[in-house]
Amino acid sequence: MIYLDSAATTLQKPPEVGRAVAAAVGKLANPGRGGHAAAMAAAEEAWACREAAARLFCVPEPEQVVFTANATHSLNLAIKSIAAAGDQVLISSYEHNSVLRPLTALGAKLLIAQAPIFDAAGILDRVWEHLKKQPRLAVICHVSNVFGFVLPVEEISALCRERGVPLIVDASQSAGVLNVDLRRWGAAFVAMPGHKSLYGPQGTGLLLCNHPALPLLEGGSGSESRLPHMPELLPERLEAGTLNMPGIAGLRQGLNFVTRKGTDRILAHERMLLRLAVERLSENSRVMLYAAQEQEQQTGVLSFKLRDMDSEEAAQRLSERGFALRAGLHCAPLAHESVGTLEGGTVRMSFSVFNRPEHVFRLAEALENL
Amino acid sequence: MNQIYIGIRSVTYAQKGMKLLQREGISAQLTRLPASLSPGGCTYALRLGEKQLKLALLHLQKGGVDTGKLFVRSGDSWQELHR
Repeated sequence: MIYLDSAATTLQKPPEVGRAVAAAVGKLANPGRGGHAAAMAAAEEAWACREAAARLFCVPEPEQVVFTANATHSLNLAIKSIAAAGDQVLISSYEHNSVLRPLTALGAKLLIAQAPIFDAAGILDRVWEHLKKQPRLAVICHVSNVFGFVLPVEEISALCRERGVPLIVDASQSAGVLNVDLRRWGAAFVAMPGHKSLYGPQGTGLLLCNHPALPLLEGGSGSESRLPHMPELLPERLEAGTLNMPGIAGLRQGLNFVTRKGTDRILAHERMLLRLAVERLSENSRVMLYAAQEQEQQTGVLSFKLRDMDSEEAAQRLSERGFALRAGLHCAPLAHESVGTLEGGTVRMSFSVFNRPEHVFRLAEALENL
Repeated sequence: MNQIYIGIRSVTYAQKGMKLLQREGISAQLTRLPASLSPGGCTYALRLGEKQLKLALLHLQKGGVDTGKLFVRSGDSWQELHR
């Protein structure tokens, strides 16, 4: 199988990730729940993972790194810590359902910064217009999961700081690929999954916290047990229940892998594959590509359609030929609406550090013969 | 020498404190306080030698690690140490 669906989850992981997960089972007990060696070993592993994340994402203190089950969990925690029913909330027109649905459930009034695909200046203008209305919160994705469009989070964060509007950044598609810097952005929260470009296992996520937070779950936290409520201090305040220690052990190795390789190198590799894909697929008159003119505008995520074939049908046929791509709306109807692909969706290819040029050439060939 | 136990509110902060002290050349071990000495329930502690206490408290305070009660253990007996 040629796996080109890393925007959903990276399938191929560095070998040390699997080894760490396996080693954790049977070795790491419940951190913060006892004083015995296995519990302390787990606590040590959890701390080391927080430290690794704090270093990579410029978080002032490791305890500001909270473990979650995934980015959706992180985003729900962050959004519900700030927004309340009826609040005006600014979002971009490229947000995922993990932003749109919690806000809808809250009854937030959405201010949508709408702009054509790859038009960073357009997004910025619209964000600025909406910020004048003093929304309660801004939630912006760093990179569109459908189109790889890099939104101008640096500039948006500056505008939000100027207007005193807390910002939540959805770094689901950027953590491990672009620079994610909590301190420089001054964001309230940055949410990310552990299992995409951080190469950790599924069932892991991180929330970088720079703002008071409300627990989403209440339960055991391992300390201050006589308190009838969750503790005030992070990270335990947001980590009710037993942590996913095998996942965290694996995530730590993934973070170390990304740190060693460097996000610049990883991004350069994925953009090289993107360029190859755009070049080769442009030669196929059946293919409509959604690609940026300038490479800085896009990461290693590329959507396309076939003029004469349904997207789901195309993905299914590619799957039968050994290619893993995702078709449809990618849990991001707003993004498709922005670009005009809501009817029928697109087929999306997304790269990881383990993809090679040969994968792109073989996909291009398969599309020619589809 | 007597052992000092510095109560810390969570395992994460206890670890933060331990790493901080280690960087400053102070040897401290992470452990749990006896239940009878743990008013909030389930308290972690940093265990270190009596002579290092003053410096340890200074470093912990500078490093943003809030400390709880202090106890000195001599054999099987525990006594709260008032600052």
